[in-house]
Amino acid sequence: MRTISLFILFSLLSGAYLSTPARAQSNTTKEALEDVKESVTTLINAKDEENPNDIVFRIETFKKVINFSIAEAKDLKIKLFGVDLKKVGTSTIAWKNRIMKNLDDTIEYYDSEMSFIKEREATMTLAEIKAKAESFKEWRENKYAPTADEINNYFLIEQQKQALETTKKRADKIRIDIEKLKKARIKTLNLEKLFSKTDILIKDAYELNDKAVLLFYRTKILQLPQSEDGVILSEIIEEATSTATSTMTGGADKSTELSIKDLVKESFAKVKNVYQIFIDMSNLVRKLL
Amino acid sequence: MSHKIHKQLERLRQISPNPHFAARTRLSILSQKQNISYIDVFILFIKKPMVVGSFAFALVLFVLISVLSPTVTVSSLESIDTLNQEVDALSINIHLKELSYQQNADSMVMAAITEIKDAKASHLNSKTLNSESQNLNIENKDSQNIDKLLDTVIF
Repeated sequence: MRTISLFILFSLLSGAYLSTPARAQSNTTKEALEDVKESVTTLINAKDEENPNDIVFRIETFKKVINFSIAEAKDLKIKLFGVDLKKVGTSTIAWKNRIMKNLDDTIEYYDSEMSFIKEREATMTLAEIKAKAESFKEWRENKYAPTADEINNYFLIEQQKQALETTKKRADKIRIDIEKLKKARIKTLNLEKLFSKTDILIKDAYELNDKAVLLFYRTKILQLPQSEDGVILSEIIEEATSTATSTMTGGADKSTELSIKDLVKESFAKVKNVYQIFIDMSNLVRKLL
Repeated sequence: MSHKIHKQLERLRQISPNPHFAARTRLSILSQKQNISYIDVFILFIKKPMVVGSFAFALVLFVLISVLSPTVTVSSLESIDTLNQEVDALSINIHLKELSYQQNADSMVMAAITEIKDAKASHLNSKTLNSESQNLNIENKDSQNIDKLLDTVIF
């Protein structure tokens, strides 16, 4: 009876865990990172004290690093599962499949490294563990990091699109309220001056995010060389900016100096400026009424 | 013949209702008056020209006050808290924090790999040195007193 109760409780808890929305870093990942920190400290102390068995601590630290890396890659997979395929074009679906495969390959590589270490840990030499750590670092830098970057950039762009939509809706409501104030013969000159500033900022924020979208679609989703920009730019705009108000016209994208992340961050900074002006306007309205 | 008619009329003139019947009928009429509803009374009241005029005046006054006084509600800018919450709730905010966490985690992993590979200068590890320097309390009172004593001895 107790076993059945425990089983039911466990099932309920598992269900609750699965039904919660996916977060970027699960508790497993956070705990795994704490384990890495602890084992690094232990390893450093062992080396400082010239512990003859420091290889044991090196192996232990390496295992913790692999453990964390597996959890981290799995988190990104869960995040990618959340992309609604009904809302994206065929190129994005193909990109998602490619990225998912990269993550699967990475997890497979990490798993194989973990199995190797567990099988050989009793007899491993310092040279062997150093070689393993070096190849792991190379994989992480050359395979995992670019994939993680692409996923993060995709979500940055999508979330900035949502942020812009929210900002635009708020601006539309404010525009209606300013008209109301004007009809009530309240002096709105200062309010209108501030509001015109937000109009410009919102337009710039859209332009920056559109540039980020184009850069991402051109280099990551369609994987085009620079020379083909002008040829199919309109097609990219059609798919990439279906929800954004694109202000881009023909011609090559000149924003290659800025990274996708920089462009989105700059666009978001403008959104924050807009909200600061809205707050100033709110204070002004209080004085007027 | 005319005498007969005259006599008849004289007799009819003297006819009066039965006092009992008269009293009962009077009571019945009085009780019916009391049954008039308040609605009827109200309708009768508002139909009076004076009342209609007053209502019209009050309405004109209300319209004038409404037009002239600025009682405008500006819901979009009403609360600063709402604006702050709106910008804080943007999911990109959360994502940027996650990116920062990921960057820190990546630095940690790279530091761990360096430690696993590194077999030289184990006594010069910056983490160990930092940790040790923090444990050293240079501004210790005892050491300051020793310094003073040494100064006294020397000079």
